[in-house]
Amino acid sequence: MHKVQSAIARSKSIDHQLDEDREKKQKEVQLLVLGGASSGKSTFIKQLRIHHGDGFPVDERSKHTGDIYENVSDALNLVLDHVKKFEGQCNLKENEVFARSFQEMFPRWRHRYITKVCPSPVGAGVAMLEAEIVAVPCGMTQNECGPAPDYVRLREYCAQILALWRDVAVRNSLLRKHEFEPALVPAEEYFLEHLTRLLTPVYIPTLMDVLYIRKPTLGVQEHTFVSDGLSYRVIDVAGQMNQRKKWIHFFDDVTAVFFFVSLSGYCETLEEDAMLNSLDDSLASFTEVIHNSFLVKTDFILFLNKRDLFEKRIKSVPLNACFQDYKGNSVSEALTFIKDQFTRRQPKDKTVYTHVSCAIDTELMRCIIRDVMNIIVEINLRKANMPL
Amino acid sequence: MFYLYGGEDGEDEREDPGSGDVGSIAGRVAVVLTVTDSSCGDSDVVDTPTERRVKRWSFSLEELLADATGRHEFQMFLEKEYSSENLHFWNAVEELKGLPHSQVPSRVHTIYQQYLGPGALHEINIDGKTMEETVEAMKSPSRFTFDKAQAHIFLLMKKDSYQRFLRSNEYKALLANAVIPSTKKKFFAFGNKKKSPNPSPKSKRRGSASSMMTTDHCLAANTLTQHSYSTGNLQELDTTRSSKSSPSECTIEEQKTSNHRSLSPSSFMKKLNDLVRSENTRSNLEVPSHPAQLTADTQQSDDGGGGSSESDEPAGSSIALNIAVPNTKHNVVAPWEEDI
Repeated sequence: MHKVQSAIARSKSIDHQLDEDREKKQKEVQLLVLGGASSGKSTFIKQLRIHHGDGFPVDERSKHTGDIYENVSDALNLVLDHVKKFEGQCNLKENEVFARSFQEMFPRWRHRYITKVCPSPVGAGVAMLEAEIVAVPCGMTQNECGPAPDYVRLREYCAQILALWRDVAVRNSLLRKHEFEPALVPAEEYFLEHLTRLLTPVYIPTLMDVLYIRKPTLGVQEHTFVSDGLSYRVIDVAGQMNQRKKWIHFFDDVTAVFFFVSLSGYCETLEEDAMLNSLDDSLASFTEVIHNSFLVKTDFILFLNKRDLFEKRIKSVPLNACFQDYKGNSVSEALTFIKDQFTRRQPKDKTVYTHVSCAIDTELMRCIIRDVMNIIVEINLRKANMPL
Repeated sequence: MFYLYGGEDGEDEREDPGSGDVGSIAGRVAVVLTVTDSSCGDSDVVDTPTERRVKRWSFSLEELLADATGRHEFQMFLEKEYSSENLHFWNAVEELKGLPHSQVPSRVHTIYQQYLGPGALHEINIDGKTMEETVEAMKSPSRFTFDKAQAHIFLLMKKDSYQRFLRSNEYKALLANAVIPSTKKKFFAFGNKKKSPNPSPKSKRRGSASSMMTTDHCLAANTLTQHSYSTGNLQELDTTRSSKSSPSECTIEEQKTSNHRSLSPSSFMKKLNDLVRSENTRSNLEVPSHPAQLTADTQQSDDGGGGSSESDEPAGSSIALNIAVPNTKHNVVAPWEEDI
């Protein structure tokens, strides 16, 4: 008897839960943010947080100091590598000495840092016993196996770094920064410009600093926020080619797809494949996603991002370096041409809303996000009235 | 009061919990500490790690990955974020480093096909340059073929997933549920010791297989019956357990943990290993995953009543302790202090 009662109670509570879920779902909008690597997806999420979230209070911003210093350290390493290449060494001896120790203390993270070998569950001891591993490949001595540097410590070397920064050899090398290989990314250029401010002991990142951070996203992240009674679930993904197969997990139940394209990519290649032009790749993946059978009924909002960089770059590198059939010569013509490339590839019965954006421009993004929200609400209403 | 270990830097206390021979006193003390601190070696996955252990994971990704439980929790977290292939790859490369030389080339190819090659099922996120270098290194497969890719993945995880893991609700929950083995509570409840119904551990200490089930284990075993109903009294279980361990037992326990890893295992040890394995795959509801507790349960059932009645008492005192001395939970008290 007791069992029956509890079963009924449970069934009721499940029904209740289902009702609640259904109601919640109607009020919930799922947005999927797609696009190539470093096209500004995560930056856009940060903008959402600024305009519809907590807006990065001071303590949230200070949590990003480490990331910023990591970008700074990467940039300094790159500059110092090129000082060696262009000038041989720094002008002042103490700067040269510090440059050496700096590069040892804060190595550029890519390729240099070797993980500490942890005791693995499967016979780590065996490896030690075997005599044949005498030949440790170069650059992998025991000394380098220490823990990764704590980049916040950069601050302790403030005076030396700034002295180094003023060194004639460093200045001269920076004049040739367009020759850098690999090139400084915009985030690194920005942080180097503000180096003096960043290294003060009381430094707290500004909103702009937080927006500029370059940090690759891994896997898939969900962010939720509430605006005008609707709760938004925004899904941020990693954009590298080898990560795109994960996108499909989220195609179901999506209200709208935000597709990000880096406009400045017309003269860049992919970090995961140096043979592929970034804009070409964006076009290809856009075509693939927009024709995906799961997304037939899903609306697309296309963000042609990094407008500021594009405008700067188009002056020195003409667009027909990438598209031979481009004949125009003004910035707006170039923009229209690129926009046209995307709209040509969409299915005929589909509306794609296009925005030319600049994800680090907070004021511009405020308008764009407002427009986009209106579109989303519209889509949501349409979907609610649509017979299933 | 003698504090053996009071700092927060978990670095120096990891004296390779798997090493079998602990010759010097210093080494022994170090391992005793590890055992007292984390209840069992870092190479075991436990359901509820101690608070110190969970906190140590926040020091660095290296610390997290060096701990099997930490690795496991991180793995679960990454699965939710659809990026667990990175840790799988990292693990596979670590494993590769420990393989006999003869198996290395074939394993290198397996790893390549699984994580790197075109159309790999669990393709990892590495850039073109690292990929190029790895393909180049594939021409002469060795233990170090994937080192660059591994380092790249490690840093990606460190920069992104690990930071989020530390801020995640999962990590906060781990920290909140972590057990706090407060040995200090004995100050307030030292009277308990006399009432202990368990046979003196000294009578059957060293060498015999049954010494595995001295007080701390059978206490765990006795309270296990309660835990099948509720997991609410986790903390008291652990406090009881750690309060009971005397230095000799710890040393024995530590030898046993290392024994059933590398040294000549008796048939009992084999059985134990099986138990440990099955224990690890259990659901989270079954709380204590001490290797010996199940065997202990059957063999020492005669003093079951005493054990569980005692376990009720420390709960109150441990709360009292937490209020009175909130900051001392990190200090591990020398186990022989309990005789005060």
